Amino acid sequence: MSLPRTLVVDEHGEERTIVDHRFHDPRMQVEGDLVPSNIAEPDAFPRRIGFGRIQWWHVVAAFLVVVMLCVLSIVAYREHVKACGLRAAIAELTRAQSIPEAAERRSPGAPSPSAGLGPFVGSVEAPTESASPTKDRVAMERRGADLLAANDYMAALGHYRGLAAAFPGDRAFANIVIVLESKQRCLRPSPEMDGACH
Amino acid sequence: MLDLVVESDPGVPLEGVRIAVDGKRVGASSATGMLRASIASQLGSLVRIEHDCPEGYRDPVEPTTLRLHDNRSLRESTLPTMEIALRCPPSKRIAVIVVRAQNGAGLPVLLNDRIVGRTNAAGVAHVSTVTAPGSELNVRLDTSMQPLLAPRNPTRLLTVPDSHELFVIDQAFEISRRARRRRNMQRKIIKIE
Repeated sequence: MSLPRTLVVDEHGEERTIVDHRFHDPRMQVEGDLVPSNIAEPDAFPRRIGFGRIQWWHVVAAFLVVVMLCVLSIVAYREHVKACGLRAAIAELTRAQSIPEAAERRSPGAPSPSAGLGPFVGSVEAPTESASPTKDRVAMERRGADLLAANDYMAALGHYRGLAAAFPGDRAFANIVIVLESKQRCLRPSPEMDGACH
Repeated sequence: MLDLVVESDPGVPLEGVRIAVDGKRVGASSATGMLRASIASQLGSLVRIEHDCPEGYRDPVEPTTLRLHDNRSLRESTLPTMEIALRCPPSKRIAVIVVRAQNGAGLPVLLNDRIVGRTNAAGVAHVSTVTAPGSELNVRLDTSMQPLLAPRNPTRLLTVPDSHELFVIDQAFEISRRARRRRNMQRKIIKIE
C-alpha cells in the first residue's frame, strides 16, 4: 500500500484547489484508499506547534539576558564610582602618612608655621596618636570647618594651629591661621591700635 | 615730636620702610614699625609725610599731610608727641575657602577651572590662594564623577576683599534616585486552538 505523499489535486473542485492531506480533517469522508496523512505521519503537524513554543522561550530567555546585562552594567557602574572614591582615599592616605612622619622629624622647639605672626590665642589641639592618621585628619578637618561655620574664631584658631603643626605640608592650614589671627586682631584690638579693620 | 608707625594691616608692623618729611628723608621704620622724628616748621603750615613701601606692598595713593598746631604738654619736662599711622597694605591677599559638602565626599574642588583640592570622606575641603584684592574666584565642585548627586557642579563666585578673608561654602547634595520606568509592553494575545 503506497500512501499519497504530499499533494493531491482534487479534481472535483471547480476551482482546482490544491489540498494537502496532511492538514486534512480525518473525520471527512475520503474516497478510495486515501488515508489521512495526519494519521499516517503523526509527527508532521505537531512539529509546527513545537517550533512555536521554542520561539516563545527564546523571547523569554533573551529578555532575561537583557535584564541581567542591565543589572550587571548598573552594578559595574556603581562599583566604578566607589573605586574612584577609594582611589582618592588611598591617595589621601598616602599623603597623610608621609606628612606626620615629617612632623615627627621636627624638633620639639621648632616654631609653628604661624609663629611670629601675632599674639597666641587659644590652645593647640594635637592629634591623638591612637587613631589612624586619615580618620583623625578627617575628623579634625570636619571639626575645624564646623567651628568656622559657627563663627567661633577663637576656638577655630587654636584648632587650626594644631592642624597646621600636624600637617605642615598643607599650606591651607597655615593660611587659615594667618587669616584667623588677622580677624582676632580686628575683633579684639589692643589699646594702642586704632582698630581700623576692613 | 612725631611717632610714625608703619603697618601693613592694623596691628601688623612693617620694618624698613623709608620715610620722608617734606621731601627730606628722616629714616626707616624699626622692627616695631615705628620711627620717631622731630620736625620743625612754622605753625599752621602743612607738613607732607611720604613713605616708600617695600616690594609686595602697595604705595599710598596720596601722601599724608598734617597741619601743625601749638600743642603744650601738661608737664613742661616732656615734649608732646603725636602718632601718625602710615599704611602699606599688601598687594596680595590670602583667600581661604572651606567647603562643607553634605553627601559630597571625594569631590574635586576647582578654583577658576583648576583642580586645587578634593573633599575628604566627611565632605570637607580646605583650599587657599594668594591673589590681588578685588579679584574674583570661581569655586566649583565637580560632580561629573558622581552623576547621582544633585545639584550638578555647583559654582560660587567670590570676590577677594582688601583683607585676608575666609570663605565657608556650605553645599548640600541630594542623591537622586532615578524613577524606574515601566515599559508599556503590549502583550500579544495568542490563541491556541
